[in-house]
Amino acid sequence: MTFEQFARTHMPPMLRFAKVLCGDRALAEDVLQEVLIRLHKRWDEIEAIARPEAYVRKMIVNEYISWRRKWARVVPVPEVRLLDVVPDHAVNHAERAALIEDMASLPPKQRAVIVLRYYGGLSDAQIADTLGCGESTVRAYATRALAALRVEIRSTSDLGRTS
Amino acid sequence: MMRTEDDVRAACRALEDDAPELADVLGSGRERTRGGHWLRAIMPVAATVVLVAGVAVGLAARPWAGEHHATPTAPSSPAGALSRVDFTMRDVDGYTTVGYDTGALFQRAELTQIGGSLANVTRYRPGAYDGATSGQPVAVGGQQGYIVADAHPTFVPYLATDPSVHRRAVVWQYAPGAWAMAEGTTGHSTAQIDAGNLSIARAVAPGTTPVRVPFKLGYLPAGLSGESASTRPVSYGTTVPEGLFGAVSLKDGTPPASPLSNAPWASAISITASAYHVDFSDEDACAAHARTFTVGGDRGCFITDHGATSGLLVDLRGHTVRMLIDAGHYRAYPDSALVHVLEQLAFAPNVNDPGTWFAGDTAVPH
Repeated sequence: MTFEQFARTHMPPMLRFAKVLCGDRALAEDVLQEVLIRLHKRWDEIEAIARPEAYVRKMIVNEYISWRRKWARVVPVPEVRLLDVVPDHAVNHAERAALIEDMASLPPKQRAVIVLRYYGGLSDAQIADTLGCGESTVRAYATRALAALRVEIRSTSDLGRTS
Repeated sequence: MMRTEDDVRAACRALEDDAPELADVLGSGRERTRGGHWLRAIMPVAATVVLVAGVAVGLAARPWAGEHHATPTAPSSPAGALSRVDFTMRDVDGYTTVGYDTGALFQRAELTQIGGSLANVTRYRPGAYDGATSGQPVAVGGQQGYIVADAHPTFVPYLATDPSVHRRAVVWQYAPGAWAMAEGTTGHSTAQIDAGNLSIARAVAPGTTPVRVPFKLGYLPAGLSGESASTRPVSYGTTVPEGLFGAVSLKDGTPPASPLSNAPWASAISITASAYHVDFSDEDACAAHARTFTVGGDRGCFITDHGATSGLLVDLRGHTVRMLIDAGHYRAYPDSALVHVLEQLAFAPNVNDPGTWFAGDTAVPH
């Protein structure tokens, strides 16, 4: 697969993933710019990987939580535009806005765990691989983040999902 | 009221709204990152799919020199160039000046905008940038300036012909043959953006601003010399103060292997120190990286994948200072030489007090 083919096929969902992860469109653009540059420069190596999309997702997550974002990031103000979202009568819009705001205040790794688990649908093992840490660390991040977000866990097994 | 996991899923889906388009990322987006410049260098910007498909062709076929702008060459750095910016910034309502950059090509003040993003004022060295001579006339500091919709603040001349990479800015000639630019403010309308850019342009004042970094290098591999310095004595965080920052970028004589490495901003190595206000001691920055080294009892690691950077990273002084060597020409220098750079550096008496930091020029061995 060429870089161009990959970009055509896989970048649209990566753009959405980056926006959810960063919570801020401008930051997502910056993160993706960095990732695309490095992806393009190293494409000869990356295309040989079995699942390059997983690798690119890893690049996005690592760029988001990397050192440069730590000093360069203006703490994101969520762009809450709930009126544009498909109406969901089961959820109070104000509460969702508050939840998005609370997510924006999570430390980067905790937020990454939450997004990878609840948006990306990844198992703890896959999240651990993405973040380069152990599954126990993933569970610890998740526990802290969910507590900060005041999310009730239905069962303890939810904290230790495996693929 | 407790939330459920489904609430979290719904919140994530809501955040998908307004995700960037690929064209935004490649072209019309933000100019502030070095990455942004590089991306524009490798990606001739056009309609999304056509654009991506055209990358390889563009690299080979696009001329490096543009139609409307002469190819700039990097002027040599004046003495003391890494130690000061030759202007100051007055206070501007709604903005905070957080840092300065100085080097051979330009001097820059960076500002955070309340509720917005980063804006900047850049004074290019004479000959480094050919500004506009048309647009809506405005006065800036007693000089003739223009509000322009087609500024092209990169050093990639061929992009001057590509409308999708242009953006609104205020430009003015601050000295004969020397141009300045204010850009990057955000707003809900063109008028708001123009007003924001003009307000920060008019905040430029005579004087000098010191550029200091929190470390001094005792060793550099042969061939490297100072190219630019950056100081961020004010934390970026608007609600969570994350830390202070200083960096020097170094150049070498490596022949350009591609148009990318020929770019004036393509430093061989940048060395960064971040002094954190917040406690990151529960983070192991090197957890994902197998190749490690030790400096003064602290464990660092070589980072060569995952997209974050290519170089070395180490947390020193009990996780209060994070040092990173981002090596654009990474393979040109042995790992042991880069570790030796870390071993031989000295920190300012108080890394949390920018008043004790080292002037940019003195931070780099000559």
